[in-house]
Amino acid sequence: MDARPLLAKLSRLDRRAVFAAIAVVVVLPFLSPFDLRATPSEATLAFDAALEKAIASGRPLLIDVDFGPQTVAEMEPMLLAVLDRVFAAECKVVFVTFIPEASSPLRRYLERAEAKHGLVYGEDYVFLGYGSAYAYTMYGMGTNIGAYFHSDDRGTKIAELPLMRRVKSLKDVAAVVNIASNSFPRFWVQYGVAPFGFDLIVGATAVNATDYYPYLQTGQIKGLLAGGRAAAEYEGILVDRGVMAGPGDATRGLGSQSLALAVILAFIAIGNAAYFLGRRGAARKARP
Amino acid sequence: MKRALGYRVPAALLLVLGLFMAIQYYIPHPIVQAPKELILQWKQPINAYIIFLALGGLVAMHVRRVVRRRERWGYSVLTLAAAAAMTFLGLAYGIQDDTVFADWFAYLVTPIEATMFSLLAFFVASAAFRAFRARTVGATILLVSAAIVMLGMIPTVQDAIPPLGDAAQFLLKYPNTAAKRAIMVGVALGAISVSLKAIFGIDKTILSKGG
Amino acid sequence: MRASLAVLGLVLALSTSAAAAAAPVASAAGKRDGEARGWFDSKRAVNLGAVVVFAGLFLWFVRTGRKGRPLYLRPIAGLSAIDDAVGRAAEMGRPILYAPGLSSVTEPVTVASMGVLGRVAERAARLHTRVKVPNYDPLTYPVAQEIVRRAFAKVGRADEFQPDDVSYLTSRSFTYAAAVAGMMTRERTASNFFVGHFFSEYLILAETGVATGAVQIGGTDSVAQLPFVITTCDHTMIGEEVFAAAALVGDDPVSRSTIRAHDWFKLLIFAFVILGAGLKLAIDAGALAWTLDGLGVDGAQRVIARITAALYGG
Repeated sequence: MDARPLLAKLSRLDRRAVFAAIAVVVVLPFLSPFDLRATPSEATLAFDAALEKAIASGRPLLIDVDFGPQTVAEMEPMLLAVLDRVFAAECKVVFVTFIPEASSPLRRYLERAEAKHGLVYGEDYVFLGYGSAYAYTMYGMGTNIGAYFHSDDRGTKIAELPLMRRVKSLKDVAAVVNIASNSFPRFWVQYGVAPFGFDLIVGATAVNATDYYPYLQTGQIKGLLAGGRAAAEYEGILVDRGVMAGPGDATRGLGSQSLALAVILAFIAIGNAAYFLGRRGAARKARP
Repeated sequence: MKRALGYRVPAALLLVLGLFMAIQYYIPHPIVQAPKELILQWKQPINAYIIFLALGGLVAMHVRRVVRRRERWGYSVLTLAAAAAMTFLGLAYGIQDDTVFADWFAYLVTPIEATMFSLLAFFVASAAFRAFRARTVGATILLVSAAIVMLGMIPTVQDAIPPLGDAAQFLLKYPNTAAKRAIMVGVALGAISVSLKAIFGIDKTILSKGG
Repeated sequence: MRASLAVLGLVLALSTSAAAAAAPVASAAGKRDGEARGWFDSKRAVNLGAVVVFAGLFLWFVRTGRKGRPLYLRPIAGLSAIDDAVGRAAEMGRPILYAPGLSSVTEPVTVASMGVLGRVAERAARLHTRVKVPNYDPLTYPVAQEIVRRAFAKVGRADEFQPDDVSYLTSRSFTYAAAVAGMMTRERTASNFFVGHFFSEYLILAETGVATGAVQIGGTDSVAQLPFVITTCDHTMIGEEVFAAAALVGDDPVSRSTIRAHDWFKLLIFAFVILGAGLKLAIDAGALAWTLDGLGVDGAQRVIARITAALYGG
């Protein structure tokens, strides 16, 4: 049977058919779940090592959460895994955000973490709230946090918080962890790491993460979680270590991600097969 | 006077403050660092003012559309009503977690934006299907690299063919990083050049004297 | 000049009072952590050297440009295609869409985008074609409006400029993408320009443009979005080409000549990369030790260890 007419038709496939196929394969694993386990990449292992080193130092961490509703599916599992790890180790953490829409969700995550780990606000963790003019505030926090955050998210003066008496500037933290769906890690490198030299550990979306590999290579970023798959890898590490009881949403999403990638590859293969067969047919027709 | 305020004073501010902020990076002395801290702190209220500017511009534009009965002016009424409602709710009842404002944000804005982001999965698939054709040598290299990275990201394939996973990591670590770094260097130099032109008044676009 | 002096005086007065207020705290902090509080931070010497070299090259080429020396610059694909894209829109009687990106006018790439917008608007005005400019940033909106207005006025078509064509939509990226996608679909724009900084929503904009059959010209400094720009646009300006394009549209010899500064500085970086890689290879292969021993240098191993620590971090 001559498959060329079929392939030619497939190469001009209406994009709505592509959309439908993607929709089916993304939904399928939620209806019929299957287990997938991702082998941690070098970047994920570097993230884990850097975070462990920071926790082991005994000094507080600064965690900057910069993702909004759009990227919750990809970034929330990452943040929850990091929260589980730092609070299980009884590490003290100062939280901040530079995008207004992250404040409310972060409050909810912290409330849940407080209940789960028995935390005391002001001693175990502080949420400084939303800081505007991100680049300028990052640069300023390197020398004096209190000048940019006079009170925390709850309206309490910074000086009245026990944890903030220890953390006056970024020199007082073991590391800055930035979980961001935008390009803020780059600003942390420019306005934080370059002038003040602290450790920067980053969790980013898969699209943005490729921008940070150069910084990872030079050591300006100490570790990188690159997207949902890396979040699944990190969840696996924490499950093996006994920090997390079971896999989280990132691992559950691996099935959809993998099937979607396979479908895209299949469509690319079909498109190219049709292209080459069409070219061969045209060449044959052109021969005298 | 009008001409001085319109152009000369902003240009002078740009020159002095631009040079100062560049030079202060190398001088840790308090007499230089103190004004720098002042400038950084002033940026926060200036940024807050920009939000009012945005709101004012939005309201003015949509009011104009309603008054002049432009096409689809009904949507402008909707926009104004939504902006007014959220502003009223936020000011009257606060924006903490158990308020109407927070609920509307969580149950209206969040799902809408998450849905818009999820559309990217479909658009990526259709863009890949349309664009990844091995028409030239360069396109073929692009196609093969993309295929290796995509296959290397699938856990079952990575477990079955470990060299594929290694190849994917190699591509991300070396060629991708080298290309990104080269582009970043170029972009950084371009940005410095545009900034220097603005500071020295060679390019007046930022003062709306360009075009 | 007088304005600059007045501003300088104001800044000095403010700084002196701020320093007087902050000095006790600052010097106490300096004593506490023992960091440099002098007049020069020696850790940033290399950085300063690079800035001085680039600024020197930049000012040299500004001087060269002012003398009016002819300068060849290779054509930039996206820029060369502007006339064709505008002409297409004029023939089809449909508007042009120009999206200046999602960063503020304080960012260099948006300033560059405004330069390209001026060229597009001027060409469109000559051909009686509307340019719709949806803005994401409230600061960019008045600048864009002024640039388009001036472009129309420059070619004597001020009455054809419609203020509502340049609008501020929203400062949320996906909402902006939805609004612009709707605009492209309803207005059936013939040519789309995406020049500026974009985030993840770019693909929604560009794929919608592809679906409407528009010719698309894209340029961005956003490295993450470049693959999407390349696959969805007919002509692309990659990274630095956006800044070069802005310099070229001005037809101003000074702006054009500053592009030379980029090229020379990149050559310098390239030379250092080759030097550094060559030196590392020589150290690893033992060639450097052999050379230094042959030249009779005492303590060759110590010298190599210091070079390795300084350049490669140990």
